[in-house]
Amino acid sequence: MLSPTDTELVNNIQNGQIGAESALYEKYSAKVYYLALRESKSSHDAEDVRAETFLRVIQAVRRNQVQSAEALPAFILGVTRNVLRELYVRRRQAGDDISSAAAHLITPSHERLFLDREVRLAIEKTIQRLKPRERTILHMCFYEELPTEEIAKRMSIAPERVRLVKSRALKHFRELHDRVKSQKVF
Amino acid sequence: MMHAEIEKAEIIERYVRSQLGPTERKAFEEHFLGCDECFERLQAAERFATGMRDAAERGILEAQSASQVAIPRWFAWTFAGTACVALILAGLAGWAYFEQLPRLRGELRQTGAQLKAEQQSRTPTEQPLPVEQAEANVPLVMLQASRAREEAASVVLKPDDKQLMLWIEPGPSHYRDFRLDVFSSGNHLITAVDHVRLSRYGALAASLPTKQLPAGGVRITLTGQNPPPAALVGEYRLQIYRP
Repeated sequence: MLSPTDTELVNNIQNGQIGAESALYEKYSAKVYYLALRESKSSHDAEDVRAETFLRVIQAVRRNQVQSAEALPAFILGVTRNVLRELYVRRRQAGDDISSAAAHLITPSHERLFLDREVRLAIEKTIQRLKPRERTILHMCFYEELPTEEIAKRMSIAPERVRLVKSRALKHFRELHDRVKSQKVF
Repeated sequence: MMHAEIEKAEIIERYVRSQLGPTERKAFEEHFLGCDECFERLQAAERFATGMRDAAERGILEAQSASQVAIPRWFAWTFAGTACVALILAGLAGWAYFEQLPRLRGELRQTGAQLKAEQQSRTPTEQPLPVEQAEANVPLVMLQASRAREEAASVVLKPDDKQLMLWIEPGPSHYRDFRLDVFSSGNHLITAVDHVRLSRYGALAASLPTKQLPAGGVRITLTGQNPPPAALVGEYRLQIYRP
């Protein structure tokens, strides 16, 4: 079943239709949480930011304060950013900051969110398929965080070749990850 | 933000690696909030990047040094040398094509033109007869300077005869080249042969195509051409019969 369009969502909420606000939350919840987690580096704060964001968005839609249904994604993004700014202000006032909150973590929270058993298995399978040169390219890219042009220069290859290696590896990873998730393999 | 731009500018990967500027980042966030496909790709890229970093930390994604995986130095030098030789050969080929070939073509054209001019300047007697004219028995008639009362020389031309050979002994003369003119009985010029030269026997031999020669009497004049000035040397009469 197709999800309702933004125009339908806005109209349904304004008409007081039952389930319309849940549909809006369902459509944008994961995206807002991702943004909040990425910025706040804390899953607890991300939960709070998501809840506060949707409260404000739904109230604004009810009061017809959204300029147009087409602008709904931009409006949600703006509200999320405002809530995040308020979070930073509260953190500063409390004398807390991101680094101290995440000091005990080797990996930032938003990354830990993506790192589960299935991802690790799919990554290991992907790496097994790579040639030594390709492994080196990906190491330079994702661990050493070198730009594509620098990797190409160090490897004496064209930048397009580096991009090709990355896109192929990502494609294999997505296929393997889908299989792992559906438990067709292992 | 369009999908083509996202693809071309590697927006997703740069976003994951926090390498986008504020404007690009805001534009992409607005885009993926409304685009499930890009959000799905973004999630996959996050998992992939995080997984690769994790694998590198765990020693699974071991890296070889660039010198180990880069092209060997000896190979690079060999390749460079081969490339240089190929470039030089290509340059020589280009020079030959653009500089030498036009010159050689010009010389060839000039030589051809000279050859053609020489061929055109040769007398018909020197020209090799075409194969179809290489007759075994060519009719020959010996002409002597005509006098009014003397009987004209005669020849019978059969239908198969394609050439008639005239044999003339002009007698002592300072001319080296002669011209033969053949006139009909009505005094119209039928044919002419230029630059006829004396043979070692002191005679002139000229071949005439029979199809140009009508039955009946013809008048033939012999004019000395070279050295100038030209002057009439003799006049001959010939009676032609066609059965």
